[in-house]
Amino acid sequence: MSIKTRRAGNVLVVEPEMNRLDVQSVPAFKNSIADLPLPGEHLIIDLHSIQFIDSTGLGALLSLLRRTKEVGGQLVLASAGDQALAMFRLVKMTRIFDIYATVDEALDALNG
Amino acid sequence: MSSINPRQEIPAPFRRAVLFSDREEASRLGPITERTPSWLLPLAGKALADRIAGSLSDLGVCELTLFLSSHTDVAASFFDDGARWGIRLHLVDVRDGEQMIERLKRFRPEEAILFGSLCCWPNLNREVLEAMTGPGNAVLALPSGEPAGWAAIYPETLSGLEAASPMEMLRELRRLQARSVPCPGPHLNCTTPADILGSTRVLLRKELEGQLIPGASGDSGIWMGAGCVLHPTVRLEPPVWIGENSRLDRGVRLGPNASVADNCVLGEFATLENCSVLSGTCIGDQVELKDVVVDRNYLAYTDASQAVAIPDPFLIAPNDQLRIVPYIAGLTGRLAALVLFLAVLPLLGMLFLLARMLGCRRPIKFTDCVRLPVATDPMLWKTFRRHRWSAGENRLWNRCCRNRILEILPAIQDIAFSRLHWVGLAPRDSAEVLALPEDWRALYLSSKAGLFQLSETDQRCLGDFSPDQQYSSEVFYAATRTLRMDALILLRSLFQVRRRETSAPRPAILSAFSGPEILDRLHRFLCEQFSAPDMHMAADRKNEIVTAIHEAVTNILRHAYGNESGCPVQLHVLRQSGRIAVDLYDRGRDFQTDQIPPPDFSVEADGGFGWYLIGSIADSVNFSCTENGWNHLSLTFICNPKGEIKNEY
Repeated sequence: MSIKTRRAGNVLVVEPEMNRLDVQSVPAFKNSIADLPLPGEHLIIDLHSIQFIDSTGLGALLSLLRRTKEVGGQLVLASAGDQALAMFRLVKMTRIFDIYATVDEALDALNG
Repeated sequence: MSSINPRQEIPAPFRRAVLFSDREEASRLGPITERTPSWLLPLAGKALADRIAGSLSDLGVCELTLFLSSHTDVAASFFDDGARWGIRLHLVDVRDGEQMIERLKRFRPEEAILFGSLCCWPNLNREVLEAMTGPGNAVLALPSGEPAGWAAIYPETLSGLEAASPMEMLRELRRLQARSVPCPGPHLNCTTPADILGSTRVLLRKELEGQLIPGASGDSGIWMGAGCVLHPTVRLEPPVWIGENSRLDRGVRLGPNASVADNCVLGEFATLENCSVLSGTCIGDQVELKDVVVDRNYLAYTDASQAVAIPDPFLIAPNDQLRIVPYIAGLTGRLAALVLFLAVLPLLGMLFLLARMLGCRRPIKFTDCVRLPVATDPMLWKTFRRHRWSAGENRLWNRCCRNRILEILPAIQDIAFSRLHWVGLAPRDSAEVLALPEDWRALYLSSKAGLFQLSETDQRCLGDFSPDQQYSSEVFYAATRTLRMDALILLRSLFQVRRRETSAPRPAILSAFSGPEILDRLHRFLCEQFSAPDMHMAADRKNEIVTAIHEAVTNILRHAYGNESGCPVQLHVLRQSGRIAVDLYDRGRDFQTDQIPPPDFSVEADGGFGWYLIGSIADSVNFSCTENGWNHLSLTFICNPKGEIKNEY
């Protein structure tokens, strides 16, 4: 498993290249993002290739969110699929995560 | 040499032992010992040679040499290199006593050797061995003064000694003023029928410390191996030992002091007292036996000089002699399968081509199933390739695969070529067999695999597809199968194939094992189920149901099995009108649903939403533990979305 990253100013766009973010793939995902984020850096997690997230995947995103806040940054999600959106709603994570329809919308929100 | 005895470092009275087998002694059991030496005949489940090697290893012996004048090939196969007892083992073929003495002289002259008979174990313990060490040779003596067959010998003292046999050598040593050490307590011996019966009695009465009797037992003095089948009217008088996969029919009376080895059949109202029945023996109806060793069609009485052969196979016989009728029936079935296979070959070819045209690249897939019957040791298992249609992405082809008549066509060649039976237990691969509970596995391995199964017809009739129901049906079939029963199951199965619309709906079943592959298999399975043409449900509801099932399986992997690999998980998905019933089975730790903490919806949360998600998505949730150790999670989903997310997207 790998992640693709691209930088836009102070924002790092992270795109996990996997179909599922679940109990099986979360350890590899956590390894890939172990050094993120840098102090003051904002993160956008581009979920467009992820078709399925389970509760372990949610836990990994929450952990990354906490780390980002600790270094003074923000974490937002973009391009979440239907299943992922349903999951966020079911566990009331829409109150915690900012979710945007596209990466560009997320970039505008963070830069604006 | 594959292993080194860790006890080498502990000072032991003797480091090296030499065992001999006397041709003269071994011949006293007559034709019974022509094929199997007396020291390999089972005494309450374990051969005397096995018991001696194990005991010597426990007493610190790490080098064992066997002097054999016969059965060297059998001994080589049984002992191998001695690694299973943690000792180094050497086999030496000796013709006579003179050659044996010459070989003994080649050992280190100043080191004492424990020298003894393979046909006798005088309950040696550390105290006795220490009494045998010391200056000069020592001979273990019976209360009568006769040598017990065991001695401590210094090779340097054997110069000039002449003897025709090992026992004569011991007598000669005794005459040459070797020390006499008294032999304590009861001992084991397998030289004569009386010795075998006496030794079995000693073992069953637990008069000899440290000797293991295989099989399950309480304090009742009754031992039973795995896969035994006893009619409810069987009367057992302890002490009694019954080996694996033996069957005792109606009215059998067994004991006291009786041992029945593996794979034996005792016919109706047979009575056995003070008997030892060796492996693979069938004893006919109403036969009464007392004070006798029985081996297939030989009877060895305590007061006779040789075993007698019984020519009438209805009294006593090797088990395989009574299998003529099943053999003929099996042959007929195979011939029928061959004819049928040739007849449907054009149809098979057409279906194969159709599948290729519909985009299925490999229409027939193989599964390596365990060939039955077979011993319980996985090293001995052989497999055969079971042929089945392979489902693809094309719906028309998948419907063809699921058709009950077309479904069985590829497997007919497996029956024709003796790999599978028409009727039997469900064919399973090695991993599936290993995942079965121990008692189920033992019965399964002693039975046969078939295309049509009692468990399948029972499950369809009862509408119960749980592992417990399958276990009940398979155990019943394995324990009671007859030709008549096979014919009935075949008829019932064919009737169900014709009238399948009247039988209970069968769930789609995924049998998998915990490990890295399971979630991929789960999602492929669910994708296949939820993409069926008759599945009318909103995409969002499908996503929710997949999420709930995924969380339930994840809970099993993490909490029931603690992330251990190779543990069984079964998922049953039954589509009914307007609802989906999902049953999940595992054999891991159970859990109390009321002790699960409520989820934390704050940013500090780190997961723990699994059970909450299941409860939010499913319309009913039930968790229970079955009597046979399966955890059962039952989920029901109404196909219309429920709750807050209805029609949101």
